[in-house]
Amino acid sequence: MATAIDVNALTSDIVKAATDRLGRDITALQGFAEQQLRGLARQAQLIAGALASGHLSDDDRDFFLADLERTTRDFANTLAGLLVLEVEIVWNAAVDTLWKAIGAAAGVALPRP
Amino acid sequence: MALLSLAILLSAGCTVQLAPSYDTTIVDGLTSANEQAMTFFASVSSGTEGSPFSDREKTYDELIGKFGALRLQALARPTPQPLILDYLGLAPSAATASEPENRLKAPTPDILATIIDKLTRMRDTDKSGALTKEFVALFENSYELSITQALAYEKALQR
Repeated sequence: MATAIDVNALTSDIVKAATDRLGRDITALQGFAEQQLRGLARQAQLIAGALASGHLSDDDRDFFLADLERTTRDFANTLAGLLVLEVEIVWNAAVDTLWKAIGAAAGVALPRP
Repeated sequence: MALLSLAILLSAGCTVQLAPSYDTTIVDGLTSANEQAMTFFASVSSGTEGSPFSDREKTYDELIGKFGALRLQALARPTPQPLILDYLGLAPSAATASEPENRLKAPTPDILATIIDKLTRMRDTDKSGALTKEFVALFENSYELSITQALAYEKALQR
């Protein structure tokens, strides 16, 4: 027998399904970003130190500066990739919760989308 | 707004995949190559003065070869291009239509190319006899940044 869907309860279920997972992932993401930013700052410190002490030729300096720029860009792209992954997780958690709710309300077993 | 979102979800009617699938052979390969690289960095941390380059040449070549093979493997992995991109405003525009893969391109191949360049430069520096401890510190810190990026992304794909 069909029953009505409680929109408020369903909304809460969707938010919970998404944020339970998202909360853990965002903490991990924050740790990754902080570690990377510290490492990038350390690299800048190492380049400056090696330059000041005369260890780097002009060619070496250019290489390490270009490398720092590229590594920073890779970091930004990695962060963007990880965020896209979070969008996927939230989307799928929402769809899964909706399908379960529709199946329960209609009294039918819907195949998972 | 909630109703609109619900309608979009229902009309799409499916779960989506916005990033490549987890590939255990890439993660295992990265982990193994990283172990070898970190062991190597430890062995040259004081610089290589007085030690012949030929002692290390094989290790450089192995590491560069391994990361090159992993890059090709990551490049060959399919990149999903789902319909949801239209809803999220991430669909390729006319200006980028020739390069739709850039929208959701996994960062791993670029990161591995960066690692290969670092190791190649380090090898060449070592070959010229100038691999001091200052150079090793610069290469090692930079390498660690890149390998952490690759491992963080690839491991996150196991969702």
